[in-house]
Amino acid sequence: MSKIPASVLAFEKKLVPSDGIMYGTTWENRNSQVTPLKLQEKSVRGTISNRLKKSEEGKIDAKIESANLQTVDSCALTPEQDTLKLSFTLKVLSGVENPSACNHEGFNQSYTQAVKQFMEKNPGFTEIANRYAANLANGRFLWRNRVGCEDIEIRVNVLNEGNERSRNFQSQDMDMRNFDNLPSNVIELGSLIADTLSGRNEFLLLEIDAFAKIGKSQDVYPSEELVLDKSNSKEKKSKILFDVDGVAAMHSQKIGNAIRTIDTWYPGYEEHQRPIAIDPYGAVTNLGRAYRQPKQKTDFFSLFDKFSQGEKLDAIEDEYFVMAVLVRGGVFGEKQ
Amino acid sequence: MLDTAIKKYLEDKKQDFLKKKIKGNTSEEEKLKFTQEANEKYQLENWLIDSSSRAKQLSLTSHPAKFVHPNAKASSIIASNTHRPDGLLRSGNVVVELDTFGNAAALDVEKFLRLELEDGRAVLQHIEEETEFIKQLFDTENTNFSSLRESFMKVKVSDIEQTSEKLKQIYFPVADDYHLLSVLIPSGLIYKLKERINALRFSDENKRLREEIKKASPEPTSGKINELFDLTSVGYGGTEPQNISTLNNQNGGVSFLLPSLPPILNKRNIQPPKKSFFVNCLWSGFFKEDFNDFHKMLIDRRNNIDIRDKRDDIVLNSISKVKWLINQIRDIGGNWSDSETYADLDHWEKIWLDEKYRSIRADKHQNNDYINKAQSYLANWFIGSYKQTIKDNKLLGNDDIDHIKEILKQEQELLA
Amino acid sequence: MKDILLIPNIKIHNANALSSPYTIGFPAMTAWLGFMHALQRRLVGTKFSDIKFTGVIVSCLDMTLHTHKVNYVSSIIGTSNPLDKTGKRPSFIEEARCDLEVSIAIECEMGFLGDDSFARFIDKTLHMMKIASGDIISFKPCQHIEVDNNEPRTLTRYLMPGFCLVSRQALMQQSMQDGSDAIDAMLEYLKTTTDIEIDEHKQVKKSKPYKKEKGWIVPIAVGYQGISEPGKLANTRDETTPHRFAESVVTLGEFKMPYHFDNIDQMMWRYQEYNKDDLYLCCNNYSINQQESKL
Repeated sequence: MSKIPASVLAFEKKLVPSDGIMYGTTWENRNSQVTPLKLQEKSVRGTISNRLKKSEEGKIDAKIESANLQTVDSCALTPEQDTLKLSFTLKVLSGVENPSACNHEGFNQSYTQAVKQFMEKNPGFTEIANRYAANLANGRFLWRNRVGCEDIEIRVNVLNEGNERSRNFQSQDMDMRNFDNLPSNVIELGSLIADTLSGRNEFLLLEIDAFAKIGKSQDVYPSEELVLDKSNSKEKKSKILFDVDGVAAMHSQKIGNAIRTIDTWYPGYEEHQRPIAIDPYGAVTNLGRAYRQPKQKTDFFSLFDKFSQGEKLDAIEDEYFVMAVLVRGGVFGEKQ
Repeated sequence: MLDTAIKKYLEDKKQDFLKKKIKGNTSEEEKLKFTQEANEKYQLENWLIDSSSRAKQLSLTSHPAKFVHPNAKASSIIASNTHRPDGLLRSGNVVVELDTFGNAAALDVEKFLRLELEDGRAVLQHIEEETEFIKQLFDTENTNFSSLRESFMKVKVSDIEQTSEKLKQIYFPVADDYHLLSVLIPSGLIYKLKERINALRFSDENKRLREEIKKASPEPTSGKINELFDLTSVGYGGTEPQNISTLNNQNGGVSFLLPSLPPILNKRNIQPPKKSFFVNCLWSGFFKEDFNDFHKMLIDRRNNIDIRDKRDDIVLNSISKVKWLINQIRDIGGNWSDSETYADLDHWEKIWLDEKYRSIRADKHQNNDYINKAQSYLANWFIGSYKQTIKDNKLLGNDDIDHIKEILKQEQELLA
Repeated sequence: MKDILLIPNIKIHNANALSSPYTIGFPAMTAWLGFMHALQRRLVGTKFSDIKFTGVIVSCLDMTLHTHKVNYVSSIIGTSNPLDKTGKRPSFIEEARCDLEVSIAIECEMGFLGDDSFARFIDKTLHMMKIASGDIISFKPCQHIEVDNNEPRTLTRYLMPGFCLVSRQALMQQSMQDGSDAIDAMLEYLKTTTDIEIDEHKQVKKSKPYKKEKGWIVPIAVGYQGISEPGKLANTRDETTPHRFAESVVTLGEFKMPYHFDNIDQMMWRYQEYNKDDLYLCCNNYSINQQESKL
């Protein structure tokens, strides 16, 4: 199939998370008393832990003495607190069948038709939406804060006027490696998301409160900031954490990345045994690897060229992947 | 006559060439060969033939597309907007030179075209204006001016054939239709701004005065120190500024952004009050300027409407700052006032400030009349703090106090 | 009387703070009018399609710019670009973002419906929109209010506690008429000056740092200037609309507390009528009126 004829093509994201704000509390009083977590600035002396060169071995004492003083941000619970609370909102939007920009009318029509066909399928968006729901319920968005928790509870409130409803999830029980055998309340939440993505409902507003019992005085991990500093100042901090008005926080992008970690359809899942975030090339940042290679025609662009122009894809899983990339949004026109 | 700048340019090129070719172990014979080669190559006539043929690899432009996105392929525009004293920063209202992008191997051609000759005009300008001087120089045995001119002028061809998805394309309403605008960055302007900012910050006058002040025994003098605060740096092209444009490379790929921020206060350290909002949260330094203005107004009082309006303005200024503080405390969330720490805080203040009581605030029967209380406390606070700050209360009459209370009553929505 | 659609306390996440290539901070005026225009387009085909939006007032209640100050000059805090197909990070394009809370008042023409169905329709629609490329996180219910242009407090009470941006283009215009170029005319009003005097007794006297003009004056982006002729070319967003290359246009503005206005029009921004020239601008008449009142 030929390349898509639109040189300008863009989609808005359909899952819109806010930044996540971090609070400290106790497991017993988690619903009544929470305190915003502040960042601490510490000075630490860098240590020498890298392997020394042969010529440096004799100078280890001198090296250790001259190790740089570094300033870093950190964040932790107080000795009274044993539980981290992370709060954010998530907006789910309909309208994936309409690109936000497209400069080819014929393509626009074939695309919209392909998406509408997908929406009418069963399970269609339900499979994708259930996975998003699972990633809210399992607390994947807590990232490193989820590791080694004694207990995790997630509360998801629907805020849409007239449909307010609250659900609790016990995250510890959920399997993070696949999306099989999801609990019924997750499927319930998934069907709300699917209704919106398929356009049966215009938008869905969710409020998520996550409680992770991580233990007294334990470190918590807000997002790290990427400072585009061009100076070589000595006062430069080596680690800057993210805060919202002085309260430790998680970037909305980081939360979004966790929610769309639903791709188990990529080549290599058998081996890796972990879902990866939806990405056109199946790229995984911390592995520096892209699982969906254009050579094997498993990347988004190869599949989208076919799908959007009315050709059938080999597997329904490929359609799931394509639709999930469109939900993520992006600029897909000009040659990448 | 060969212009000295051109002469020096060719001589430098020759030396660079030889430096590259001749190493420590180069034989005398080879040295001679290279020197001959260099003499030939950088003889004016040959140089003109060679450089004019490479000129097409370069584009002069006022708005290089790569500033927006390093992979953007769009036309090379040369803007020609006219100057008007219309109060707008835009192309046409500042004199800047054109930027260049293109094959790095042809950048020596650019340097040649930009050489400033004895009369202060650049080579390119001479070529454009077809001066007698350049005509004579370019008409040689093997070259003629008009064909050289044609080749060199290719750097100024402004082709407008394509835009790019990488550029922001904006619909702007125009009567009943739209125009679609692909937004580019005028590199000449942004780096001219940087130059002026640096000239202002590091002026000789600033330096002279600062040094004088530092001295143990300064000389009598006077002058002005000028500063620009809260600048932000922005980078183009990351670690490879040369890929964006010549001007970008010359500036290390970094330009300055001026702050365009509202006077919003830093709220990082706002905490709920432990005893009373008026005592714990309304530190008078925050309102000092309002009190000073208020005092000035009282001194300057004439009983005309302007002054009365101004009195209202000042009081309202303060109230809106108070409102801002209230909002910040409410933003902290609900339930904080349940903690032991806030045991001494009056119940009506808890209703007023804790989001937990949001719905109660709307309920007349339960809200403990918090608005009336807030209003009267605030009036007392304003008058008390004014007196304390100014240490002169003779000017404040009873009617002023009544008036302040009256404004607060009118604007009590703000405290709700 | 004016009909105003009031959208109180909108929180916007990750809005574009690179308002022009010369400025960072509050989103460009074009973004706010662009939002108004986008909202107008949402009315097409509904029972509210007769309502016309004619101007916008923006009061900024809160703003956080994502920059980090190391020394004298701040740096932008970026987001990491997605990896490419080789798993590498592509070259960087710096994008500055901010979080905002604003109250917006939109001036409307044509009769409102008696009930609150219009306000409720806007409530619903807003959830699906963006402002200045940022996500709308929350807002308070919209209201329709009727206000008298000469009684600004009937409106401004809803815009507190915030700051409204107005144009001070006349300041820069004057300097340019006096012979400065656009950059100097602008910096003249942005620089902070300290007078230094050292007397015979070696006493150093420093004045309080001051600026040329009172008030919180900032550079603001107010529109675009076309730098090529309108026409057709490849890779445009659509093939029918006339296309031009353009650049941002910046002038001086001032953030003022809403209580300081004599009438509502002083705060209002509108699209300037296009004169078939190079300029695509948003305009505000505060500056002009100030000029007149001085005469």
